[in-house]
Amino acid sequence: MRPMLALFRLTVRQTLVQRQIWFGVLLLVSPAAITILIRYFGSPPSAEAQWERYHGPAQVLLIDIGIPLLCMLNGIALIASETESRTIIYLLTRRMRRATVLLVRFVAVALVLAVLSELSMIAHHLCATVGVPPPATGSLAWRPNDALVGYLVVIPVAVVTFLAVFTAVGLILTRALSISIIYLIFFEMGLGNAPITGRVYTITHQLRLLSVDLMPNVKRFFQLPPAVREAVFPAGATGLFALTAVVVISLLIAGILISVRELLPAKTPAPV
Amino acid sequence: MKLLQLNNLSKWYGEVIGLNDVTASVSAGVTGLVGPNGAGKSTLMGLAVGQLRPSKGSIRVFGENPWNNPRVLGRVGFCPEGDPFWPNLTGHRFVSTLAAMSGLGGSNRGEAVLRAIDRVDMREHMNRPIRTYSKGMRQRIKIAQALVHEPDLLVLDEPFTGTDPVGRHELSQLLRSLAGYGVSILVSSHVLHEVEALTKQIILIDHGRFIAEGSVQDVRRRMHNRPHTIRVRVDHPRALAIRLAGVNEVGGLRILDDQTIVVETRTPEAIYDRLPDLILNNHDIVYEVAATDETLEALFGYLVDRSA
Amino acid sequence: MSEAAAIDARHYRRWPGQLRASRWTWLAIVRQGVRLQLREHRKRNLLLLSLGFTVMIAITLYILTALETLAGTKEAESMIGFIQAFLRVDLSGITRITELREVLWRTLFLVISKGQLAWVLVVVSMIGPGLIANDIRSRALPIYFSKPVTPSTYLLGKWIVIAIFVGAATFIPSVVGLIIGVAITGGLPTYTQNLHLLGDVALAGLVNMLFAGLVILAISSLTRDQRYAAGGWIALCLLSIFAQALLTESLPKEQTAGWLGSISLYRDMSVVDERIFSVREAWSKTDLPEGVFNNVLPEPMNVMYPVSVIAGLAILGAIICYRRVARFSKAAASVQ
Repeated sequence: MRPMLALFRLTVRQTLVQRQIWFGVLLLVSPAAITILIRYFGSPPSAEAQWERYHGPAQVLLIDIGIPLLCMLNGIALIASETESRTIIYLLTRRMRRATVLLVRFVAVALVLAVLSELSMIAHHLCATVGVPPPATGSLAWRPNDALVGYLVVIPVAVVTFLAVFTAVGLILTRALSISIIYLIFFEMGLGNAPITGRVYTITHQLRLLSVDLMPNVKRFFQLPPAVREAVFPAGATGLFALTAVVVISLLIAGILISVRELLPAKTPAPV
Repeated sequence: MKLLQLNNLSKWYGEVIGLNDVTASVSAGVTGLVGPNGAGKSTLMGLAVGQLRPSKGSIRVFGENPWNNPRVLGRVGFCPEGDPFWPNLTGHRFVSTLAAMSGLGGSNRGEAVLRAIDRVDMREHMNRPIRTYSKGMRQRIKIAQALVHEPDLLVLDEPFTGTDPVGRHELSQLLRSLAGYGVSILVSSHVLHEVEALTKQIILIDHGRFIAEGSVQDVRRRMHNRPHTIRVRVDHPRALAIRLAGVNEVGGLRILDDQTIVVETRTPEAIYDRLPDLILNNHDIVYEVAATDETLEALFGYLVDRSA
Repeated sequence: MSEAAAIDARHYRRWPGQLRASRWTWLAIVRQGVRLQLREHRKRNLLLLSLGFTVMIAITLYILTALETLAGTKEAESMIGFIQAFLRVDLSGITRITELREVLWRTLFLVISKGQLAWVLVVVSMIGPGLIANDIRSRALPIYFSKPVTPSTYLLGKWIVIAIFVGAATFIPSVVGLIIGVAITGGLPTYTQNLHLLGDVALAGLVNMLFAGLVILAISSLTRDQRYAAGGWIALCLLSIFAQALLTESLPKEQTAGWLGSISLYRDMSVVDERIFSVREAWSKTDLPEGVFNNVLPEPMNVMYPVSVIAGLAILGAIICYRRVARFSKAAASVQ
C-alpha cells in the first residue's frame, strides 16, 4: 500500500506542477466565460432559453470538448511521458507490479482532472444562476441545482471513460497523438453529434444518455413521452453500463500491454 | 546461490543484436562490466533489473525471473545511465519518494533517506530542485535513490560518467565500503581503469558476447601475449632507432616519418625504463611518448581477433 | 612541424569552398524539417488524402459543364440534386447555366476552401506541434544558435516547413483540380474566363499558411511537449467554433454581427475566403433570387472584424514565437 500511495502522491504532484496544467485551466474556464458573455450581452431569457444557456456551455464546452481533450493529452501521456523522460525506470524497478503502476497513475490523473472539471462546472453554475430569478414553476420548469448534481455525476464518469480509452490508445500505439486527434474530431465530435444511429457507438452519445437519465428535469423539460424518448435515445438506461464496459475493457488492455511490453527506450547497439 | 544466472541469453532489437547467446553466472561481490559503447552492457543491466525481456534463453536474479517481479525488484537498486529525472523535485523529495515506493515508511524512511544522501555527500544540496544540480550532483543523487532501500544487489550503469576525479575517487570508496557490508554490485563502464580501481572481478563484453571474464590480472596477461606498440616523436628518430635496436626487449621498429618512430615490444615497462637514458644520451628533443594500443579498443580488438 | 601541418596531419581541413551567407541558412532548416516530416508514412498519406479535394473539384466541374448542355432535360435532374447537396445552390428550373459558369466555379472553390479549413485543422495538428517544441525538448535550440542562425531565420525556416504542408493540403489540390477541370471542360476560353481563380486560390492558401503557420509556431514555442501544442491548437479551433455557436444561439443578431460574431476562427476564415472568391458579389450581379444561393454564403458581416481577428492572432503568434525563440538565442550567446 505504501509504494502505491507514494506513486499516487508523485503523480498528482507531477500533474499539478507541470506548466501545461494552465492549458487545462484555460480550457475549463471557457464554460463560465461564455456564460458571463451571454449574460452580459444577452437579453433576459425565456424559460427555454434559460435552460439552453445553462446546458449549452456545460454539455458542449465541458463534456463534449474540454474533458475529451484533457483526457486525450493526459491519457496518451500517462505512461509515455515517463517513458520519454526515462523516469519510467524508477517506477518499474520498485516493489510494484507493472499493472499496479498503471492503475495508480490512472487513478491519480483521473482524480486531478475530475476535480478540476467539477470546479469548472461549479464556476459555470454560479455564473449562470447567481442573481438570476429561479425558473417559473410549470410543465417547463427545471431546477438548476438538480441539473448541477446531474452534471457533477456525469463529469467524473466522462473523465474516467475518456482517460481509460486514451490510456489504452497510448499503450497500443507508439504514435498515439495523430490517431487520437482523428478519433476525437471525426468519431467523437463528428459521429457523436450526427443524427444517425451509428452515434450510439460513441462515448459522447453515451454520456448524453447518462445526462438524460440522471437529470429527471431534463426529461420533463423536453416533455418527451416514453415512446418518443426511447426512439430518440434508444439505449437510454444502458449509458452507464456501456461506459463501464468501455472503461473496464480499456484498462484491461492497458494493464495487459504494460505487463508484457518493454518500456525502456532501447539504445541501439552496434550492428553485428 | 549465484547472483545472476544467464542461460543462452539473447536479446535482439529488431535486426540489431544486444546480447548474443550468453551462458554465464555472476557471483556475489563487486563485478565490473566493461565494454565499448554499444557492446551490450546496458542491455544486460536492463535484463537484470526486469526492464527488458530476453528474446531467447533466460535470466535469473536471486534464482528468480526479474520481469514484473516485485520480490526480486525489492532487493535490487538500480542507477540508470543518463539524466532521467523529475526536474521539479528536490533531491530529498526524489530520494524520499522512491524510498516510499520501495516500501520504506515512517520515521525509518526519513533516516534511510538522510543516510543515503549522506553517503553520496549531498546533504548540503538536498533541498534544491534537481534541475539546478550539476552533472556530478545528479549522478550522486541517482546513486542515493538506488541504495536508499539498502538492496542486496546494486546495479549501476555508467555511474562514473560526469563525475570529476575527486567524485570518482569518492564514489569508488563508497562502492568499496558498500561491498564491505555484503552488498553485491554490478557496475558498468567503458573505461577500464575506472573499474580496475573498484574490483578485480571483471567481465569484458563486446558485440553482445562475454569475451573475457575473471580478474583484471588474468585479462592483462592475455593482453601481454601480444606485442605492445609505443610511439615516440623526437628530433632524430633514426639515431634513436639505432640505439633501440640494441635493446633486447625491442621486438620491432618502424620509422613513420622524419620525427616519429614506433617500437614493438612484449614488455613495455622495460622500454619505458630504458627510454629516458637512450634519449638523453643523444641530446634529443622529445615531443611525445605514447602507448598506441593500451586503449580499451585495442584490447578488445585483440580479444575478438580484429586488427586493433 | 608547424602548427598548421600538425592540424593537417590529423585530417583537419579548413572548408575550401565559399560559406553560404547566413541569410540562406533557413534553407537547411526547411530541407531538414520537410525531410523529417515526410519520413513518417502517416504524414505522407495525409498529403495523398488531400488530393481528394482535387477529385471533388474535377468531378463537380465536369458535372457543371455537363449541366450547361443538359439543363432543362430529365437527365439533368440528378446532377442538379448533386449540385444542391454539394454546393448548396438550387439550380432547379434554371436553364442558362453557361451564363452562371463563372459564379458557379467561384462558389465551388469557396465550398472547397471551407472543407480545406477543416482539413488544415488536422494537417496542422499533426505537422506543426513538434516544430519548435521538439527542438526545445531535445535542447537543439542552443545548437541552432551556436551556428550563424538568427531567431528570424530559424522561425522563417520553421514557418516555411508548415507552410509547405498547408500549401500541399490546400493550394496544390485546388490548382491541380482547376487545371484538370479546365482540361476536361472546355479549353482556352474557359481558362481565360477563370484565370483569376488561380490568384484567388493562391491568396486563400497564403492566408491559411500565414495564420495557421504563425499560430501553431507560437503554440509550439510555448511548450516542450508537442502533445500539448496539438491540444492547444485543436482547443483554439474547436472551442472558438462551439463558443460562437452558443453565442449565436443566445444573443440577438445585432450583437453577433460585430466582434462577438468573430469568435469562431472557422467563420472568420470562411468570411475572408468568401471575400477572396467574391462569391456574394458575383451572385448579386446575377438576376437570380437570393434563395438560389443564400445557403452557401456565410452570414453577412463587416469583413473588418474577421480580418482583424485573423491578422491580430497571426501577429500575436509571430511576436510570441519570436520572443520565445530569441530567449534561447540569447542564452546560447551568453554561453559562447
